[in-house]
Amino acid sequence: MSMQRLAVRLSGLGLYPAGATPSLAVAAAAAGRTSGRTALAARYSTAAPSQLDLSNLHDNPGSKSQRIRVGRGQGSGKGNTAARGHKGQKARAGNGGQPKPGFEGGQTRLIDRLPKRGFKNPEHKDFQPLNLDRLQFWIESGRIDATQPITMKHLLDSRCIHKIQDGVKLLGDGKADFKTPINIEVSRASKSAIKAIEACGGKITSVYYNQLGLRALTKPHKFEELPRPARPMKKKDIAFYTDETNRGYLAGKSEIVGMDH
Amino acid sequence: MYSTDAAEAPLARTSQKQTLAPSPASHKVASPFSTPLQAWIRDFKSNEPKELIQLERVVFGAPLRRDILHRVVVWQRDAERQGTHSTKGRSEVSGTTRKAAPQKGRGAARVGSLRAPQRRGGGIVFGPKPRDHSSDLPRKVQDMGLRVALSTKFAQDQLVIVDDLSLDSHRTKEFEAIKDRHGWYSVLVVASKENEKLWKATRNLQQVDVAVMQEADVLRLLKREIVIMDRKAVRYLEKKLRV
Repeated sequence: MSMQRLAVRLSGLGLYPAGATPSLAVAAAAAGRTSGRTALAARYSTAAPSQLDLSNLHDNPGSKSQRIRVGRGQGSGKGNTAARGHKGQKARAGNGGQPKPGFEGGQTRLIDRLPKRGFKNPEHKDFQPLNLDRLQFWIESGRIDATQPITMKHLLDSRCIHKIQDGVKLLGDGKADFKTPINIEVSRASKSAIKAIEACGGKITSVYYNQLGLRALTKPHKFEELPRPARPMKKKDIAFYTDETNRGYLAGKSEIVGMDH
Repeated sequence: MYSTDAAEAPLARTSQKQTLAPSPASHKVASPFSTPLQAWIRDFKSNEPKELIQLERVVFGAPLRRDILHRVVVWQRDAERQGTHSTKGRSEVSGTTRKAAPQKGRGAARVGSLRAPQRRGGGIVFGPKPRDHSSDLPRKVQDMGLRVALSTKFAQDQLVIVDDLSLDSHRTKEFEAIKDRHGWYSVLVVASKENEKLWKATRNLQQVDVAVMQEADVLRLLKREIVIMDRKAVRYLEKKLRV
């Protein structure tokens, strides 16, 4: 340890005459250091840190409780039976004291006795149905502003639909009474709904959303950065959303989605 | 379709809050208890104060919760752990699987495997295996941690707000000159955008870190003594962390 360091450290402890302490600037110059005064002082100070930094963080006392270590000797109080009591099902290892749900004591379980039936379609999608009469009622009662473009977010926020699942399909019930020209974006629409909306001067677009896209649409405040809208990947979806008869948003843009090969 | 414009996207979370409640700056009737929090905007090179700006009290004047900082730092460092530590158990250690001695008639204890844990060269019992050490922390606590860290730096006079972080050259010499002039030793520079000159000038300095404002986090802030920020970064963090 150099003399300067020793002097600074001792003076921090109050063991070195104050007048004799070489000034920190001198010490820095002597040590050939280019760093500033505060840095040196911080490095060689032995005083208790009054400043909040990485070296003196701690959680609140009592905020964390110690894990109980069982079966580690009598002195711990949890040594002999390790808090499991004497004998019986609950004292044994495995299954945590209770057999798994469905276990029938070794007899073939009901779920194993019955044959498998049916299958799950991975392509299946649940679209929320929305009929034109309900949409008309929502517009007339002022719950949806028809002068602005309507998205599925507006439908959900106004509780015109109650949940979104995989999207919304617009259907044609009440098409005779549908009179408002609207600009609406949904996942799908029936032929009669498209016809009714366009007959009164409205516009309808079918837009593809994946689950993330739906969440970004309906809950944008949950995202720090909104994800880019996904394009349809499956052949079926690409065919649907590039089709003008479905009013797909990619109609006429087949080169974008790679339908040209 | 929703818009994902680059300018709009990072602020999506806060822009909605804004429409609900106007920012304190635009309040006509201020709370009688709210006093403005002021800071000097300084010149990066000379450190001369140029003008005063108002800071958000929620972001730069929050209570200095040591425990919250601790939780966030532990959470961050948990996530940083590589978790590739590995040992071999008795089934993984290479070696014979032959029974070491006959079961009976030897007049000695029964021996089976030569790779059992109690033998030299045997497997390790319950040894470390590769795993993910990351822990969970509620998002609100994460945000609060950043507010506390910024407030700590402000309260301890370790926050330097500058107008412009531009340097004349990418030479380390120039940055070091600025650093030494102000007596800074350990420095984090939070820039509002990528700054090639700043990055090149500081990349060989061990006590100097550079971060873009989106990267500002509690551990980075606390690791260095002095935090230098430009005005845009301050405004970005205020917008991001406003409650």
